[in-house]
Order: sequence, then structure tokens, then C-alpha cells
Amino acid sequence: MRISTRLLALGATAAIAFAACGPGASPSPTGATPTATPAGSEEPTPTEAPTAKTTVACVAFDTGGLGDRNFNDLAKKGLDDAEAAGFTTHFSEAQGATDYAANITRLVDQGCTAIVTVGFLQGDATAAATELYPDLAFAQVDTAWNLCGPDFTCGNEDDTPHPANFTGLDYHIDQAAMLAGYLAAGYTKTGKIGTYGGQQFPGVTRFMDGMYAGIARYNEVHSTTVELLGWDGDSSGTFVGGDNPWNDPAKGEQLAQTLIDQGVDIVHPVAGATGNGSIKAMNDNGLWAIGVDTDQYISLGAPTNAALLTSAQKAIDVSVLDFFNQVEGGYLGGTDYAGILANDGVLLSPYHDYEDDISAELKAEIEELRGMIVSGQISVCEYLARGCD
Amino acid sequence: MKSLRSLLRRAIVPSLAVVTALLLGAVVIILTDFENLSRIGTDPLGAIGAAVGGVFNGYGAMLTGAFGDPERIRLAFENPSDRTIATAIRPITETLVAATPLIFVGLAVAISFRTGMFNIGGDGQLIVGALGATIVGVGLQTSGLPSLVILVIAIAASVVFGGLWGFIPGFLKARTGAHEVITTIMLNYIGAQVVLFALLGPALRAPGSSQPISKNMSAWVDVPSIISLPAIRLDYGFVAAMVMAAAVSLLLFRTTKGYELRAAGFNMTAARYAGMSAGGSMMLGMTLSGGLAGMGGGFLVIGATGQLTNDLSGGIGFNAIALALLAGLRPSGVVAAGLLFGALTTGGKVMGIQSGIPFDLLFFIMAMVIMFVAAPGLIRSIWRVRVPKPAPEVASVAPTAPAEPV
Repeated sequence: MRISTRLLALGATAAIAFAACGPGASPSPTGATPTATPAGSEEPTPTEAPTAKTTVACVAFDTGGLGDRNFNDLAKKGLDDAEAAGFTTHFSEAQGATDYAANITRLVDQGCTAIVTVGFLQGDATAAATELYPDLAFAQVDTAWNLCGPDFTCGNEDDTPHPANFTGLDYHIDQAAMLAGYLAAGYTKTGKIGTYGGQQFPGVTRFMDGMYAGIARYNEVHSTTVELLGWDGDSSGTFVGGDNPWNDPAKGEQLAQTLIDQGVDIVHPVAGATGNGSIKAMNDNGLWAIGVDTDQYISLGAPTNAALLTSAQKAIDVSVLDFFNQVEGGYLGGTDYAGILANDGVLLSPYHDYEDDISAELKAEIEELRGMIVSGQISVCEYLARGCD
Repeated sequence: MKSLRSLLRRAIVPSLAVVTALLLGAVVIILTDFENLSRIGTDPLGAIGAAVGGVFNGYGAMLTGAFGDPERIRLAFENPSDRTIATAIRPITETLVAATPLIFVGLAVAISFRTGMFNIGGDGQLIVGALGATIVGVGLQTSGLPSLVILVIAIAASVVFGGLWGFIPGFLKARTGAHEVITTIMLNYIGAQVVLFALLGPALRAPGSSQPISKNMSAWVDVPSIISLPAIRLDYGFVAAMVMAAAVSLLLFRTTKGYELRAAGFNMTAARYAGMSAGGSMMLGMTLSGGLAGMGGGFLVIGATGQLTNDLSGGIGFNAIALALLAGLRPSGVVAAGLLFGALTTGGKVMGIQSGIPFDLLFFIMAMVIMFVAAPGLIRSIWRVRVPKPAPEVASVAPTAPAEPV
């Protein structure tokens, strides 16, 4: 019977929980990471002692978000850094969509004065909260106010003005992904690179745009014909879709296998934990992958990470901490933050295992391209099939 | 007096189960407090003291998070404004908001289990009911009808949709003998996919969004609020849940139809031998059950959330099974257990925010509650109390369900 199996499962979980509590267990519990040393602990702080802050810094995570080794965990790192810097911090985790608004209110009741929401689905709740609590500062990860409407639901379908207490934390990851695409085009042995996304919205397709543009740039410079499968640089490509696009590693493995069968030797999956399955499949086949959002070489760990050439990385932790610091300094909102290569809001992760394998010329070319993007000499959209609009 | 005493006697096992589960939860909190436990070698007393302090801190937060913080209530009295009053009463109102769908689906489970049908499909019936309400809600956006009229039609649609989703397994069982545990579980998956399909289509989806979220309907249809204060979500859905509890109680224990339903649950063969339509009881029981769960979904989607998402239920259907068993399958018990679970989930979320103890601990505590209720002998031996021998009604699932009405 279903009930008894559930109970059995829960009992087993409890047993594991107890077992994990043995004296030999060393990992720290959720909520207390080693980096977040609270103010006043006996560990010496090397540079400056954290000063007590008046801002109460809080993050509202999405459903099942914490522990994704990716997006939500990056925001958590920002919050932990804030705690280490002397902020009082709180966070909430949503159990379902009904929690979005309620959790923001709970954080407000808790005395939070700066609240970061994670995940585009929280857009409506965040927009409503900015109206309800005009004296508190709100930010939302991976969106900008003017991005709301067509592709996000942020409650401003009719071009409502940017609230004075809202900050969109927006990442122009296509810039970093263009570097990754250039690298992939220079590294591929088969001349075919694959990509796919979880669902089709800008936060995802920007990665794929960058890939496309990087490859196109490489082809232009080197007169090669490296191909990208899974995104046409305009508006159509491969997306996982369905009811579980972001957390289906088995599907990710399958997708990678399909791409390998088509001759692809480097995959850039933009689909959270689903994508981690693809990275595993590439590693199993002795092929390569390019990570997303965070330096996945570190977050995934061995042995899977042996497939990772690099990752197109968003400095979510840095911008979250930045936001809290700005609020401490009297800022409330009104503008969106744009993470670009120039301000290290987006970046290309280190090459790690492939440091020696990637030729010095290719590295130099990537560095040169980075300089051209930073200086504005080149923009990503010039290399897209749809062009700049 | 007698009824009060029997009520108290009935409440012994569930209450002690809750207390035991909370104590076990405290043990887990202490054992997972690595930060303090790591100091146990150098400063054992201080480490244990701090860990125990963490428990009081966490459970204190859970209590104030579920019912209200005395400090905030004092502030509200000293300086009454919309915001301070809202802050003071929010915990208790959120508890009621969380309890509402649990009570609806708990009643649904109780009524089907009483009929001898193990309805595991609460989740599917809830979300399909919510889909029915959403279709009506979105469809009547430009109809110009008053909000209240749309609300009534939407709730009616949620009952019909949910009832249909419950009728199917009832029908299959009565006509073909297909086991309802299998069919209801499978219909959960089908229901989830139907909802996803409907949400990905252009008709219901929020304009411009590529996410499976429906339009936000709160602009033209809403369940009226009981208290009109900022960010207080308590609405008349809770009152409807109370009314339904009374109605289910009346139906089951004061009507001939209810007697027939329960007779089918006691012993299908005997009921048939007595000239009752066992198949009819199965279908009626499952349809009523599905209708109640669907109504819960309707009030949830029109009231608390305002829009349909495919993760609307968040496991309510499964929690409700546990809750109905805890309640001994009686409507008054479902209300009490619904309030308890509502308080635990609401308080647990505040505990997570205030003390950093993960909300997941609540799943552990709830599971423990159910396990202890299912094993009254364990409670008896732990607490050395005399617990009345249960008079089993649906023997295999509800060990503490006595026969007399509420």
C-alpha cells in the first residue's frame, strides 16, 4: 500500500538521519556553512572585524532550491558572506507556489529590511511586496524590471514604472558564454558542439546565444565551419520542457547521448540538475562539457568534473552581497543591476584540468575577445542569426 | 459529561503521539547541531546547554510562528495600525489558511475510507478541481459578472471536476474490480499532466509567460477576506471548510445514505446481503470524496494563490491521508488534526526563518505522529497510560476509529 511504503521510506530516512548523527559525522548541517562564521566567535578574523550592520539581510529561496549546487546555492553563499560581514540574516524556503507571497511576508515580519527573492516564478509575489512595503528594499535574482512582461511574470504586463524599492539582478551571461563558445569552437575535434535548455526564456537562451556567437566569431576569424546543434541563434532550439525540466539527470544523460550520436564532442547544457546528467554522460564517454551559472568544476566535484573545460559563471553571490551592502549604505532600489564581463558580474571559470591542454594561442585569443567585449568593440548580438534589434 | 470523557479518552493517543514526536524532533535537532556538538570534547556542559537552548529557540519560534508573538501583540495594542495589527494576527491566520485545504482533503479521505475505499488520489482530485475553477475563473474574465457569482460558478466547477476525478476510480472498482489504490495513484499522475497540458496551452497561461502558470484571477474573482488587512490571506474558504466538516458529519452519521456508505465500509459483502448497493456506495463515496478535494483546490486557487501552477498541491493530498488517520476518520477530528498540521507547517516555516532549523524536520515530526497513532501499543508502553482498546471500523487503516458519531 502507498501509505505504508511512504511511512517505511520516512522511517528509513529517519534511521539514516540518526546514523548520520554519529560521532564521526563531519559535514555541517544545512544553514550553517563553515564560511559563515558568526560575529563574535573565537576564530580570528584576519583583515577587519565585521562591523554590526543595521540592515537585516534576507533571501527567499524557490521550491526545492537549496542544495542545487547552482543558482540557489550561489545566492545562499551571498547570504552567508553577508552574515560573515556582520549582517543579521534570515532565509526562507518555499514548499510550493502558495508560499511565495507568504514567505516574503514572514521575512518582513521577522524584521528583514533587504529581501532578495530567487527564481523567476517569484516575480508576482515580489512585485506585490514592493507595493505593500515601500520602505523595504527588494531584489530578484536573474531578472530586470523591463524583462518582466514578455518572458517573466513580474506583475507589470502594462509597462508599470520601475518601483523605487526594486532591484533586478540581471546577468548578461551571453558575454561569458561567448568566450566559452569561442573556446569550444577552438577545442572541438569533431567540429560539432551541442547545447540545450531547460525551458525557453531569456535567462536560458542567453547562454545559448553566447555559445552561438562565440562559435560564429571563431568561424569568422579562423574560416572554419564549426556547428552548433540545439540553438539556431534566433528563436528555436532544443528544450527539455515537460513538468520536470530542471531536475531530471537521467533525461540529461539521454540528451547528451543523442548529441554524441550526432557527432558532438562538447555539450553546453543549460538545465540545472538535468544538465548535470549530461556532464556525467560526456565524462563517461571521455568527451567534454561546459558548465553553467557557477564554476561547476568545484560544485560538481570529481569524477564528473573531469569533463568540464570551463563554465560560464554568474557572480550571483557577489551581487547579492553587493545589494545588501548598498542597502546598508542607504540605497533602496529603482535601478537594475547588470552583471557584465566588465564588472565581473559574469565571467569565464578557470580551465582547471585543461589549463595545459588548451593552447596558449587559443587562451590569448579568448583574452583578446574578452577585451573587445569589455571595451564595446564587439557585441554578442552582432554574431547572432537574428542580429541586434 | 460522558461524551466529554470519551472525547478526552479518544484524544489521548493522538495527543501523546504529537508530544512524543516533538520530543524525538528535539533529539534530532540536538544531534544535528554540529556546531555545538563539535565543542563537546572541550566544554561538554556548555555544548549540550547550547544545543538544548537551540531546541527551545526552535520550538519557541514554531509556537509564536503558528499562534502569535506576545511581543508583537503588545506592540499592536500600544500602537494600533493596520500594519502592527496585521503583524500580530498573521501567524494564527496563516495557520488557518494552511489548515483549510488540509481539512477539505482530509474530509475527502475520511469519507472515502469510511466507504471502504482507500482514496490515495487526493492530490489529483485537488489539482483537477483547481483546474476546473481556473477554467471558469479565466473564462468568465470578460463576462462582466460580479465577483461573487463567478466565485460560486468556479467553486461548483471545482466540485464537478474533482468529483469526476473521484468517480472514475469508484466506477472502475464497482464495474471491473480495478483496485482503487492503483487507479487513484495513477489518476494523480494523469491529473498532473492534464493540468500541465492545460497550463501550457495559450488559453489559461499568463500572458507572455512561457511558464506553466495561469493568469492571475484575483483582479476579477476572489474569495472574500474575513479580515481586511494588508497581507492577511484568511478568507471564507476556511468557513466553507468548517461547513463541509459539519455536512460530512451529518451525512455519515445522521442519514440513511451515510449509514449505507459506512455499511459498505464495514463489510462490503454484508452490506450487499442486506440489500444495499455496494457498487453504488463505492461510486458515491468516491465521487463525494473527489468533490470535496476538488472544492479544496477551488478555494485554494481562487483564494490563497489567485493563479494555478502545476505545483499547487505541494503534497497536501498525501499529508491529508496521514491527517485523516490521525483524526480517526471523524470530521471533528479532521478539523482538529487539520488545525494541528496547519499550525505545524506554518510554525515550522517561521522556525526555519528564525532559527535556521530546516523545515524538513517537520516532515520527520509529522511522520512520527502518524507512526505513533498507528501503533497505540507503543504509546501505551512509552507513557504507561491505559488506552482504550480501539473498536476498529476500517480495521487495517484506522486502529483508533470508534463507532459512535461525533
